[in-house]
Amino acid sequence: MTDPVNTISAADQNFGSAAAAPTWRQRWQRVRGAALFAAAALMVIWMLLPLLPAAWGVRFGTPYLTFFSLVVAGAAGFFMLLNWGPIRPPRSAFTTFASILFVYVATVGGMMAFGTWYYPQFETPKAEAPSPSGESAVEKRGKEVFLSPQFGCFACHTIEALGIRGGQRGPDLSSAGRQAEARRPGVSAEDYLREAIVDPWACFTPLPASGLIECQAAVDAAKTYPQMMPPGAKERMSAQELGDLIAFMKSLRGAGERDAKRN
Amino acid sequence: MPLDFPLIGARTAIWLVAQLHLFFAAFVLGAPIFIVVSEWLGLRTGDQRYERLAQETMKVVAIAYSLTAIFGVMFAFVLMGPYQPITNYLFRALYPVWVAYGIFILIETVCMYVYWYTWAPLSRTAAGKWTHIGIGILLNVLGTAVMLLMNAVTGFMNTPPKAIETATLWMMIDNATWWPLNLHRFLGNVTFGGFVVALFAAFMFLTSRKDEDRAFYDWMGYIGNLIGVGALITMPLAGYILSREFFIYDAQLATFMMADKLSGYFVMQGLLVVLLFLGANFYMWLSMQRIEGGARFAPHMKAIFCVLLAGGIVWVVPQNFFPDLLAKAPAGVSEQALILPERFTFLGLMVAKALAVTAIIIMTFVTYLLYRRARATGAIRWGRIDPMAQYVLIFIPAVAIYLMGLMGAIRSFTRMDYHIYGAVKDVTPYWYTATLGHSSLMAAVTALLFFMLVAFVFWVGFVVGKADD
Repeated sequence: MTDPVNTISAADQNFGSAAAAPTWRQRWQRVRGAALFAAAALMVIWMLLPLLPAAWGVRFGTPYLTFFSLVVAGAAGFFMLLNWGPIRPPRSAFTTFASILFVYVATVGGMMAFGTWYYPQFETPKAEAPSPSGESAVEKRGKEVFLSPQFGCFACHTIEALGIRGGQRGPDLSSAGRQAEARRPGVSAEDYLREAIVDPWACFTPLPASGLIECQAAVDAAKTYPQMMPPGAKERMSAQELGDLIAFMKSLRGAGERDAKRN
Repeated sequence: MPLDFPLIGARTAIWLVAQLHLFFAAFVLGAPIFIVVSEWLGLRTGDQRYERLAQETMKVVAIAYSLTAIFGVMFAFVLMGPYQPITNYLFRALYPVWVAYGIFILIETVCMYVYWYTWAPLSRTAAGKWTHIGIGILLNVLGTAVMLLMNAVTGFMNTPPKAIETATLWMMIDNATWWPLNLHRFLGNVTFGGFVVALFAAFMFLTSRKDEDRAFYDWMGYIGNLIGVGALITMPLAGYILSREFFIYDAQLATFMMADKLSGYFVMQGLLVVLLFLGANFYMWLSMQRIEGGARFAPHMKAIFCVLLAGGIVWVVPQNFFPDLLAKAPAGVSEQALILPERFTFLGLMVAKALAVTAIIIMTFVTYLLYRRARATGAIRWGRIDPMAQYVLIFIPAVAIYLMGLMGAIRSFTRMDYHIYGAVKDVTPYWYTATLGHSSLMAAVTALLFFMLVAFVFWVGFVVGKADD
């Protein structure tokens, strides 16, 4: 195999001319070692490793196999670049700028693609929720209050049933309307919701895993959500906004899934 | 929240302007350090290349300085609007720091313009040249003071004194992470400055048509990269010291960083650091080829690269694929598939990671030793380098700028849902920790905007001028 460094040194004598760049055939001869190594390593990763006995303790999950494959591809790419040989310099101002921009954008874009793929999303509020059919005008206004950055309800609450993926600190409100009917015996759902919004520390919402239905007078780490919801909504919301929000909450009767999964 | 930002939201708005301000600030603080050293080397050795490097880099700094100020003002506007309550709090708590900051910025600006505009007049005599170098040193002292003041505010937001109500002004300034942050950012600025100079040199090399210009920019790119890599080698240690202070300050906060919602960010950081070192070593491989007889070191370098890649794999391999401590495996996927097999658990531990990064650093150092050895026995043909090397010098700053953006996000998110950790809650709708995907997007957008702006600076400062010549 040709020594790449010696070849490049010789080619450098003609730097800047077309003769400096090796032919594609020469390039393939230089990189085929790394390419064959990568192909062999990928076969080991995907075909041999899964066949080994579990007792040997070398069974990796698919995410790790994918990760190792990327590493092999990256390492092979690196060694291919080492042996690639000189490239032609750009010949016009346009190709110069375009090539610089391409390298930069490809690098940053590659990083972004990896960062976006690598881990699943969490705690990103989705402001535009799908609109359920049969929604009344007052409920629609209430939903707007819920999604409004001014009040930030979604910062802590999710409504899984409507596809509103908010924060996870407070309870999922997917079935807030149905649950409100039983939270305080003798108190209507509307009055309970009003109290829960205006004076949230009066009664604490039970955790789904606790099995409790009624709200609790005191915080209990094992049974209730913590004392986190800030009071003072009455001062910050107009009577109309509060009424709309309660109407929207009352309309939520679907079964929440997130809390059940989480617990 | 007094006011939100239309369309993009307040957090995205402040993220964009703060990050761009910090990119330019890092450059205008980091570059003058080696500009003065280069000017001094030019005077001491009589090598005119050092003088030209210093002067051309300073021209870029002088233009970039205005952009730093513009984004600083925009940053202040967003702080005063959507983030008015926390801005008021910081002004009240650290009032003398802000006053001192304003004064130092003013003096630093005057000093910067004096340094730039007296370059030619003071270069006529040796005494004048020494005076000019003295002004440059003063510029660096003032710039460092400005950085220390702002780091006090940043550190205070991350790690305020535990008894914040009774804390004195000095206790707020000299908070737990102030000095680690000072060290980290100082070295980071030098790294960043070096890489941006290398970016500039690559840009100029590729746009140059004269052999002597190519020779100079080839040399300049090598020096910029050398400075960047030299400072980069120390960065893992400085980062470790900063993280250690977080651990000592509050273990919960450190767990949030390393094992909970920011753990994915650190895997990404590992990848970016490995890419930086691979890029730097690849550049040295290409640099070796412009030395007569450098070919004989190729086998040694390939062996080094194998160790480097092995170290990189250990450094990057994640302990698990869970995004946070509460996350469960998706439906149909076993938990076992998302964690390292027991036999390989050690690869996810800090001991293995520290050993891996040490190996990477040592191997990079050995690459430079080999280059030095080759240089001692063969002549360097400056300008006769594979043009691919210039694209490597564009790749390295791209990764470094992106990394800096992502690291800034980590430091900021370490406060969790607080503006001032443990003391002032973030009650805006944007209190939550952004996903790695979202932060990656933001880092990419800011890195691209920064690149477009510096490309504009290079073009205005050099290409347009050269066309007139």
